Amino acid sequence: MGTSISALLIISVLLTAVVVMFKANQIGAELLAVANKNAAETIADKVSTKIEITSTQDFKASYEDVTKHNVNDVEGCKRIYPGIARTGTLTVTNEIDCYWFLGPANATARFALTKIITSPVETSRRGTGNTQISLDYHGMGAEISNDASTWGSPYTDLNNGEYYWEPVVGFNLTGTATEIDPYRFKIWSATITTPRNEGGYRVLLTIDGVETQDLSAVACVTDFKIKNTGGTAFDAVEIEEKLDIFVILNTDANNTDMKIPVKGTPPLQPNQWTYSIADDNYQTDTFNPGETMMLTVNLNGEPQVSGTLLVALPNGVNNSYSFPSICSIQ
Amino acid sequence: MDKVIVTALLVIAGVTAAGLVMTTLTPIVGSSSQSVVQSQRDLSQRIETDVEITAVHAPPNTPTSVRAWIKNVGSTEISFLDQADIYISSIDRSKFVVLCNNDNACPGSWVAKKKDGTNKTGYWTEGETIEIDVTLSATNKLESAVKTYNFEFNTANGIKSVYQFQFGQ
Repeated sequence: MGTSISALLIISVLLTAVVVMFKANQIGAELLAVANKNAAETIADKVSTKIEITSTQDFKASYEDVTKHNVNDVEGCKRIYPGIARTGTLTVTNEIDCYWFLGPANATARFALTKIITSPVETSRRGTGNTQISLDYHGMGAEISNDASTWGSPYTDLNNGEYYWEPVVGFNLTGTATEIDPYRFKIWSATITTPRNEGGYRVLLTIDGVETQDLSAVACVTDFKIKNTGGTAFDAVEIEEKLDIFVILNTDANNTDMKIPVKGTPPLQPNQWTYSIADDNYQTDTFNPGETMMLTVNLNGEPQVSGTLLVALPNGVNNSYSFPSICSIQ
Repeated sequence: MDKVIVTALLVIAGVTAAGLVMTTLTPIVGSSSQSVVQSQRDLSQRIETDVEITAVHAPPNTPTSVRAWIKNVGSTEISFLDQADIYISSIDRSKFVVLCNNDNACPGSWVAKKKDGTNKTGYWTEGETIEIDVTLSATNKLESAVKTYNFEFNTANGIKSVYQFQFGQ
């Protein structure tokens, strides 16, 4: 009798132990299953995440500044850099454009001028090419005038049927130019005395021995465009709290500076960023696949130099983009 | 009468034996099951832990300073950040610096900061990015001749992320 009772008790204890161990294993297996599921979801999210970064660029305000270097100038001049083309349009109300530049004294320079016949040139004159774009180089000190007799050297007149001028032989930069007294040239319509629409032009200056100017001197980014080219969506909370923006500025040839702007709201303070989603019709405020995020970064007070934007999404997927400089925010 | 006494003695012996088995077996079963659950929990924690070094900046004018930004890209929060292991090594294997947490007596010291620049304490939540500020001793400063280094970060539970960076960029 006693043996039977003890046997029963021991068996029940052993059974309980087996059940407890089984339950423990079950709990552990569930934990592992959940962990594996979460890890798999995270990996799948990352694999299907992809962004592409581009930007909206503009010229710096300083690139559009006009300066009259001679008191008798009829038109102020804008700066032109070697290797960076300028475009413009001569119209009834804008008969002359003037540009200034610097370069080593006695260096050889060359122009390349292209005539672009578009609006506002009247349709009847477009087919025949009946327009004229002239270029006259004046060097230092000379007056910029719209008088038909004030031609320079070298010069060209792109008339009917002439669309391109790029002389093989360059010209000499005489004298040591400074920002106060630089080399200058004008784009106009030399022999046309009655104002008319001459159309567009593109002018490129190159100087032997002078490298093409870094684009950061003239251009800056107003907005970065981040396109969601993957298959993962990010809601507003994720973007506001978990999106990381890094800006690496090439402060000089041998140094860089890292800026980590924080999320702000317009009007942005320095070292803040904000965003909007273009054409946000589906799931408002969610950055869905196929949508484009417009990212604005305020780095006022920092040097306007070239650099790299690094965007790290909430799940860690990142991409970078090199920019010429970031525009100041007014 | 004898039979009753024998039966009683056997019952007492049986119950005592069963009691002994229960008292010895129960704690063993309990701790064993807890161990099983705990080990599975640790393993699941490791599976869910993931970090990614997003950026490292080492400007040339401060060769004793390195900043790194690391994101928790796993599906769980990370604890014991101060017990993380961080190393900086050159890819030519000429330098290997073991960094200590907030200890300037070491060859290199690191502190963790939040995005707002304040010191990072507590759990490192999912999706959060922290900044690791490293200060190297003068003898272990980055050398321009080597240029390329590895920044290695290990969480307290052994999850690793490595980032190759250029000194001066």
